Amino acid sequence: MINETRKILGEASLPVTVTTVRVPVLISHSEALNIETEKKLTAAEARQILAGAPGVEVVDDPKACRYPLALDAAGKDETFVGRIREDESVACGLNMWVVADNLRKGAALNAVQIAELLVEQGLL
Amino acid sequence: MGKQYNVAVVGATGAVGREMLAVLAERNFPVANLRALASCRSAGESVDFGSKSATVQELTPDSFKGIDIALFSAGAAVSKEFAPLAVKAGTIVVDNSSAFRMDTEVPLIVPEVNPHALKEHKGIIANPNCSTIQMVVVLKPLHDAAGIKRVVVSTYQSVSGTGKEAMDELFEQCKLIVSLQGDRIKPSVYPHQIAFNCLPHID
Repeated sequence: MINETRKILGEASLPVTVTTVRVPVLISHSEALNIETEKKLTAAEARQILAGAPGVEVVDDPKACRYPLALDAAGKDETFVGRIREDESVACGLNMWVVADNLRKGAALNAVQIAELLVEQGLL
Repeated sequence: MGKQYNVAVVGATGAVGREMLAVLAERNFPVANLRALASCRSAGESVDFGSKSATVQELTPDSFKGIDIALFSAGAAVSKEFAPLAVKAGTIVVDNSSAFRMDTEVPLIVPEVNPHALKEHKGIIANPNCSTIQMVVVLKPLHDAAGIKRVVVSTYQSVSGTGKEAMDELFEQCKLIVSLQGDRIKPSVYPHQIAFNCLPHID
């Protein structure tokens, strides 16, 4: 996961540390993600950036008990993100919760999207 | 009508293979002919392809004749053996296994993140690990906006990532627990009981 992340982002030395846990859930992987950035982003700015990102849907209204859930993501194509908060323990940090259907975006859908991209780019 | 392609799915009876067939049909990928391939154990079985079905054929070195694109999800050993044979037959391979992900000759692609890397392919394109894909889709726009310096992540991964046998194991263990026979649980897919538990180790 560390080396794949570096390869895809084209950042060969990006510090990434991972703890992987199997939980008694049938479909969808969830991730508690903490990032540190060069430039300060407020939670509102991060929310806005992610709301405009391809393949991402922001679900972030804890007062209404709305955040990404494994059960809700199952069968869907989007990657859902919520619980976007500033990490006060560092100057420029963010916390968030990321959920997607591991069989779809995590596997089959991404593979078919690559096939579609091959067609689009005239490579097939 | 645009060009249509001969498509093979390798590992067509697995959890991901079946999902690949469903997604190809749902998104109306321009399929001329579909070839569903799997081990000899599954040959002759029928798999759904949208409203149609396909009969599974045994995967052999000759399976790729006339195939334009093959989606592999049958594990790293199968990919290592058969993906190069497919490429030799003129097929482009999209491989969901770990076999080629870190190969410097093989692009590792998430379409929302690094579509530009696709053109460097030499016949094989790797599909990243499921946990990586959903993370980089979120990291990329934040990286572009603010420059990511460090990433700390904990995953909470479902059992379907292991396969159908793991989903069955979770169901069976839950059934034993609710019928007060939890002491009869004998884990086989995972080294420990997965029901009502968290296992902090994934290969």
